[in-house]
Amino acid sequence: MDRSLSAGLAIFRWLAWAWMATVLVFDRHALARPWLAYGLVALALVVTVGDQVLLVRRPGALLRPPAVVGELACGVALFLGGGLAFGHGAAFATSQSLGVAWPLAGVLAAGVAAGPLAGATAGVVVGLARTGGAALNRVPASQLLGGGHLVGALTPVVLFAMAGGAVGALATLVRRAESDVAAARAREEVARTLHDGVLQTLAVVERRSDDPALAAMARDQQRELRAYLAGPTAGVAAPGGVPSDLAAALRESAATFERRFGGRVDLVVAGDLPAVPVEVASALAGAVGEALTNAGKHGRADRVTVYVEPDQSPPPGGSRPTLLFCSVKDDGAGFDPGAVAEGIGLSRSVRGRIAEVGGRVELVARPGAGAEVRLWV
Amino acid sequence: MGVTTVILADDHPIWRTGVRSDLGDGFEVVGEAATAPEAVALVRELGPDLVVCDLHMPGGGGLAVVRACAASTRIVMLTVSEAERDLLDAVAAGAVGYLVKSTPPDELRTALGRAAAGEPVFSPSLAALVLGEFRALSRRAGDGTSALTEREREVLQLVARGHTYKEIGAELFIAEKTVENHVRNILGKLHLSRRHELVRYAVDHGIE
Repeated sequence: MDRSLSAGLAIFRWLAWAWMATVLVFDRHALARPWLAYGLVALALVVTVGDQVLLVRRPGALLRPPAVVGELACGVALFLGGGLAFGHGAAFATSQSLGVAWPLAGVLAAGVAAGPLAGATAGVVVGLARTGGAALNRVPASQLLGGGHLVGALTPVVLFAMAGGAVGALATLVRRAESDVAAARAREEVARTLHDGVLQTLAVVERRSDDPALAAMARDQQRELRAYLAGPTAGVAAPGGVPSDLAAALRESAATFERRFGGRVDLVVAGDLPAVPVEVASALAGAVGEALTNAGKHGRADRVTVYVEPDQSPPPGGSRPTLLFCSVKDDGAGFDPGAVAEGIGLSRSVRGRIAEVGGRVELVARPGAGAEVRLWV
Repeated sequence: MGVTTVILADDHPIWRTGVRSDLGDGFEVVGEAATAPEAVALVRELGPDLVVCDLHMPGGGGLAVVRACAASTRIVMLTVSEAERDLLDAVAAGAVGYLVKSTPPDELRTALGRAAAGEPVFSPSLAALVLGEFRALSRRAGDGTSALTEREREVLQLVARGHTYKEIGAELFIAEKTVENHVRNILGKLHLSRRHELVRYAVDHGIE
């Protein structure tokens, strides 16, 4: 942040210098001591170039006291010297002074470098220099800004002090926000490490526990935590949040199966699922739940893999294109889909749900070789 | 075949102890490392048959180990996280397989035995991740062409659905060895596509 503020100040300095040079060209007839004016403008150029070099080489040094004080000194010299360079009464009143805007750069730099108080103090110094320059030029007090003596002399002081103070306050605020963000990031990093440790521990518990209920609980918690860490955008590019609801529903079904039957479900959900209508997602989740129940109850399966991906296969003749393909494969007892009652029961509950949303179901099973339910919705 | 020599690389000691005791006969743990550089040094020194490596480790993680050692030994990634770019990078860089840490001991033993024999060990979730990667690649290509043949896609999808190589062979009427070869080819293509991606990225961003 300091770097970009310094870069902004550098641009300001160049513009202010160009304006100062322009003013000098137009007002050169009013100069009493031209050599002093040209010398001062050259001095400002040297400081402008020097600060530019610092910005490229050692940007940090720009906001250190030597650079800021040097810049302020140059600004003060411009105002005071401007008073001497112009003919009596010419500066500030009938024409612009040498200072114009350039000295403001030092005030702003002081604010950025050391906060509102320093900025305001620098503003007072530079403002007084402007009033001093006017005094050196013997501008009649009545011609200074405003009418009364004191008010006219103080106005630039107040303006410069306010500018320095405001910039200083802003820079402090931005800097604090920046360090808050850095702290939040550091906390996040710690949280990630902690979560990783928790996941590791849960996995150890799951693998080494003789108690199936405890193992299932550990597995459940791992799944939840992983889903949380993956975040709501886990591969879901489409708006609407339906796929993440689907994933949550499938996680719930998997956990139910594991609690009820003590087996294991591998939930494999592709990261790039398209958004699907809510009724399609809930029909699919319901059908998967039924298929899992069947795998546990009748198939007595230990391992089930639930897989969901965006459907790419061309639909068989006549049927409409579908969005998702899902399979539920188990390593259970299997059955003869045509003959056995549970085959028909499964078929009815799963097919009913999927048919309602216009999907297709395939059932592949052989006695002794597990079963796979394939769904397109 | 004799005993398979193994190096375990994981920054959690509890894991190294756990895996070591799960491996049992048939495997000999010849070294353990807690950081990637340690693991690389050990692999160079001991030349094990197999490295079982955590994805997240100090000093560059499993990816650094794979990059340094994949040419000289077989590396299986073992991790708690299932869907990560790092993982794809590690597999593309030449890891022969990837398993989740919750894999039960008997399955872990079987899978590591197969990996030591040079067989690519793909868990369903990794297969799904690779499938997604190729889908993204063909979307980016814009013309709907995929780097994978239809048969390769089928094989990969069946792995993701939880089928064993044997079951896939039966489903597609091909030999189990042929299934393995398809998986190996898919890995090769993943490796190539990642390299192309890197080259394209470098060209696009003016990196020479």
